[in-house]
Amino acid sequence: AGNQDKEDRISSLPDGILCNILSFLPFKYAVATCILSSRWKCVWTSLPNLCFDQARIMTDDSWNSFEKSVNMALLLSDSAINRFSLSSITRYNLSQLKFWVSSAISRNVRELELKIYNDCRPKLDNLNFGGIELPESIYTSKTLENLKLDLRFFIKAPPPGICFPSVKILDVLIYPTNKNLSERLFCNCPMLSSTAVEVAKSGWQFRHFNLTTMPKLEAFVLRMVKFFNFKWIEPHCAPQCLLIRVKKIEILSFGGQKDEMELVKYLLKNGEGLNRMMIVFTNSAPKKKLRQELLRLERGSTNCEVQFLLSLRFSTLRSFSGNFISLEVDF
Amino acid sequence: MATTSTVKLRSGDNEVFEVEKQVMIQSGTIRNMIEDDAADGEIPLQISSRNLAKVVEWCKCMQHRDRNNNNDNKEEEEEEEEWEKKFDEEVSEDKDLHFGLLLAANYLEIPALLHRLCQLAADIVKGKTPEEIRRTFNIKKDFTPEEEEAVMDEHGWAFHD
Repeated sequence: AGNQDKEDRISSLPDGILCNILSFLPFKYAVATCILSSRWKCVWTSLPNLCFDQARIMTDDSWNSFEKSVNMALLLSDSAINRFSLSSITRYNLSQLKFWVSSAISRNVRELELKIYNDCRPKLDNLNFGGIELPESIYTSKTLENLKLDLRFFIKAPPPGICFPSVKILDVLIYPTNKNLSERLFCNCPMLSSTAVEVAKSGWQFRHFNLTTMPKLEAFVLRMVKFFNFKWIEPHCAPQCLLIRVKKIEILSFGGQKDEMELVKYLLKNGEGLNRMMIVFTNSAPKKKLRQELLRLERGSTNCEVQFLLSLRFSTLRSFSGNFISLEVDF
Repeated sequence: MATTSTVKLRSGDNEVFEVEKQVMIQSGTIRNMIEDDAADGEIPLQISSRNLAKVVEWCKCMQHRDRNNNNDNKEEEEEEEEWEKKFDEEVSEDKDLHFGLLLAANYLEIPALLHRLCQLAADIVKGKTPEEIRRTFNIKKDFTPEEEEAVMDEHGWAFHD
């Protein structure tokens, strides 16, 4: 068996099996197998899940190689992509981004996650340059089911009327934002079951997050932002999905101001199908007093549990339950 | 019209295994043959008897487990866990068996077995440097120093923590 022991059996396995093996490794380690031998150089590019997650600030060289890897993965193969996620701190302009996203979309990606921070603070020129445009195909893709955008630069609002025909989960946290952006993103989402939106400008009200455009919504998280005054205006009539379908709501960074209270009161009263309302306080909120007050509120659903949590790390966008997304309220 | 409840599998080295159809329908390839009534004779397979025996053993164990899933028989459950643990160890220590089974599971289309075997292979790769991976699997580095440097350059971000 001496010779057999010296045989390279693994390299003669077909690409499909090698990819299957690599899919159990963290993506970065799967990419690193390209150095093993020429047989392994491109195997990783056929992985169905391309997760370029590099949270650390990169040097020029690292960033260049990161860009090359993303390009290689998107260009060398044409099989369907299940998941494309890009998470990085970029030091450069993101002219590549539009191309990457449209490449992933054209390969029928199902899950798309972009988490991109700029390592320099947003400057005024950054705000004024008109913003980065995402390719129109992202708004019309029939395969895209799960979209998470966590971006720290200006995104141009899509043209009006465009929707996400198949998106079930939509998670949006963008600074700074365009006032049209969230309205347009949510203008017509027939399949949406769970969502998040963030608008960091005053003047946005809960009624603008139009629940009637999301007939299948089952869960959402509102995260309150402290910098602005949230203004609650009660809608004329409660949207159908809130009355029947929505089962879970989480309110993050709840400080207890009057308008926040009114919002929770409204949701609890009208959420006739609610199973759970989770409230996460800000650090400075008078928790004991608020808790008592909140527990006294009328509930439209007899099965609704109201739970409390002291605080949550600020960066947490998606909360504990996996099918939840946060909806960031501007106030 | 298929009437028997068993199927005969002939290994590459001409050993015949007679197995219950209920057990072997875990294999997409064999299930298709059964459904097409093409499984009445012996099914010749390019799989060694050693590997085929192991595949059959695995399929039996999984079918047994699925059938007993509703019973709360602690003893049997422990026995099955013990068997799986032994299977994992045996496969991880024997590359011939491991890669032979990978090809067999791939050919026979047994997703759960393929999944397990790939996971075991990944566990072996995990935490190793490229040089250690090469040594473990006898992979020959066929890059020239220049080529190696170019690959490192292209994907440098992936080689640093």
